[in-house]
Amino acid sequence: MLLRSLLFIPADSPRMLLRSDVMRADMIIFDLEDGVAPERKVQARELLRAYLMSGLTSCQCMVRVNQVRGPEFAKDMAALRGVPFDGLYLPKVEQPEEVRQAAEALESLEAGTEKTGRFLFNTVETPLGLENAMACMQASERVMGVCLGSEDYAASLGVQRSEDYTELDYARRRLVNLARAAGRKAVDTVFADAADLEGLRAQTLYGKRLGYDGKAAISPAQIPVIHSVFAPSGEEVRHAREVVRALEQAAGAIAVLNGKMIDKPVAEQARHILELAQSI
Amino acid sequence: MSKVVKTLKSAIQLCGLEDGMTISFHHNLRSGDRAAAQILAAIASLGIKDITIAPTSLLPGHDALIPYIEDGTITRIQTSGVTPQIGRLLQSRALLKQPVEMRTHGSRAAALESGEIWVNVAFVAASQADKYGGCNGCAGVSAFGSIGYSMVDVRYAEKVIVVTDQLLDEPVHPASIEQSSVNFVVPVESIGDPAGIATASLSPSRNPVDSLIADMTAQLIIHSGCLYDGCRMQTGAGKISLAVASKLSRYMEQEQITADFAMGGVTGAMVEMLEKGQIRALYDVQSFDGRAVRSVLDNDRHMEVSATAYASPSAKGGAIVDQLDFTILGATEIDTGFNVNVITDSNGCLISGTGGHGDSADGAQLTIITAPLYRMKYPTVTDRVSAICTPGRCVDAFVCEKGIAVNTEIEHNRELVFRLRDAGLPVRTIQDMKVEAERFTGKLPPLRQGGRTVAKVLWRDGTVLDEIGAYPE
Repeated sequence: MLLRSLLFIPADSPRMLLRSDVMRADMIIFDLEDGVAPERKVQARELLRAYLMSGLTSCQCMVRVNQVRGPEFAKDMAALRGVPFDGLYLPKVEQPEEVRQAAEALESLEAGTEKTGRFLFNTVETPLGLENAMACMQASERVMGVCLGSEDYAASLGVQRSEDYTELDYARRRLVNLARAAGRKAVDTVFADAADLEGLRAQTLYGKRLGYDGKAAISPAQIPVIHSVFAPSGEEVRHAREVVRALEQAAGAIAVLNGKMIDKPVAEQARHILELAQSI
Repeated sequence: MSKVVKTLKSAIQLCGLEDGMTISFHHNLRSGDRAAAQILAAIASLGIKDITIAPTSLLPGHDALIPYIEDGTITRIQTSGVTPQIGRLLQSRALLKQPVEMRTHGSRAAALESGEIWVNVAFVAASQADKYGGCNGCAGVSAFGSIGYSMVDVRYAEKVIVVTDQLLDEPVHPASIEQSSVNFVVPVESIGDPAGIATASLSPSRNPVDSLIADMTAQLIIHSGCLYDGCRMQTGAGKISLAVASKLSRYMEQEQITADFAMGGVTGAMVEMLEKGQIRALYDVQSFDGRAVRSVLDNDRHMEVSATAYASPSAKGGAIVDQLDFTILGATEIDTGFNVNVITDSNGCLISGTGGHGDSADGAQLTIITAPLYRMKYPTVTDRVSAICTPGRCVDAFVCEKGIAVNTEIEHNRELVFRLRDAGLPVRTIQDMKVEAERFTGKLPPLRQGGRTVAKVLWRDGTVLDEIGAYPE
């Protein structure tokens, strides 16, 4: 599954809900949590349910429910019964038990229905969540990936998030490493200044270099920038094709291209680029 | 000989304006126009009634004319468009002696040439004039750029009065309108606020729907084969159009393509392409923002053209619109026959004008209509538009956020469908899009209008394309 971009859409905005399928994000996250004021949560649930039941959207979507250990989670899950969506985006995950509880809620939701196999996506938003991220990812087979929540994470550290995200560097590097070790997808944190597209490009590029599969977004205007960073360049695709062709000609043996040896990691990287190019 | 007359009233008397006659004026100052209100005030103060106004269009700056419609000073209107306020007045009260005649900019020029529109006195608001009558719109404190629409009026009107807020002793330069065409010059305190001309978008849209439409439109143009070195283009002034222009500009830079010319209403975005060498010349009948206004004066390759040269179907040798490879236009509605409405909203209320829409659609090789699939609760794609201003036979494609519909009733477009599909673009039928739009909005009830005809929409050849009724009783 292509996950270059995850776009948050507040579930209490009819206008944004109706436009969600043309935002061009790889995954839409309908937000019932922090993007919705407490007094509007009931309305947001009703609106989201009505919208998803209407069949007006065909995009891949997750729902960001409220914290599993909080009182709103059960209400969110009740509103999602019988509704088509692809997964749950879990906020502020700290303990494997929360993930298991969310997985059980999905089991119950899917029991007796045709739609099964919904996934979970964990968010790390505290130092404890980061320390437990591996265990949380491994708590359920349903966990597809993980994302860092930068604002809450910085607040938990007791620091102000700076423009260059320096204070999050450790968390970003560690989290992508843990995700890879667990065999899960890793999506980089949002870039908070929706008007600064150049800053977004720089931060997306940095996340890509760290190994992230994609980046979360708070504005549709960020999507084209994120996609352009994660799209392999023409030169990368050409090189990947040459690598694969050289390997085929070598018939399984170690190949050499332009005097350089092509070993397994190089071959895997080339195949990944071609798969990405194919899926865009 | 000095042609300066101290007051508008005196100039009007010297021209012999009487009850039942016709006057004209331009709309280049758009929302900032203050000249027309002064002209009508002077006419009314002389007790002259039953006047036909034949402006090039009516924009919000002309809402000040409403009292003169109500008191019988104005009893007929020949225009390319009206404002929502004037539309509301005309559709709710029977104040005019005959329906408004709405013509495209090109067909208005042709009607002046043929005498179908006969102007007794043409008023020309000029930002700079000399005492002999030479004038322009591109210099002076109230500069608004091209004065191209009035170039036709001064040629065919019986009398011409220039109204200016910058009167020079020495001959004006450039003399966009020459002194030989002008009878009188009237200095006034102000012809208007040039800030009001910037009614067009000043920057490309960042709205995701508009951006998606712009992406697909740019790809459509690229894969149509209409974007080549030496092509001729009109990109328009809406937010989507500006976003398309910006994408085309990047592509042209990358592929080293230079357009022969761009034309129509000119924006700063087009001026930037001219200055970067991506367009060899700009033909300007109407300047849409401050950068375009300055460029008319400063850049020799940015040329004012008359409405006749721009779009008249009777222009000798053809109008410039006939040379266009592609044009990008908007719509309030488009129907499954690709007929386009830009004059009314979905409730049949007059809100705007046809302008040069029909002219460039008819002239261009590739005419693209862009619009979101629906606005609020109203679908853009319908079974039948509320008012036809451009017939479907002139429209090649419609682009909305859900894809591209190609008008395959036009034979040469069948190949275009294959080209676009080969390029991986989402080609759908217009009927599909109508169904999709109604999934979001529901089906609109049939349009209800009163029996009285308020406006007739005329096609470029003078035939009636459609009629717009009064509000229901």
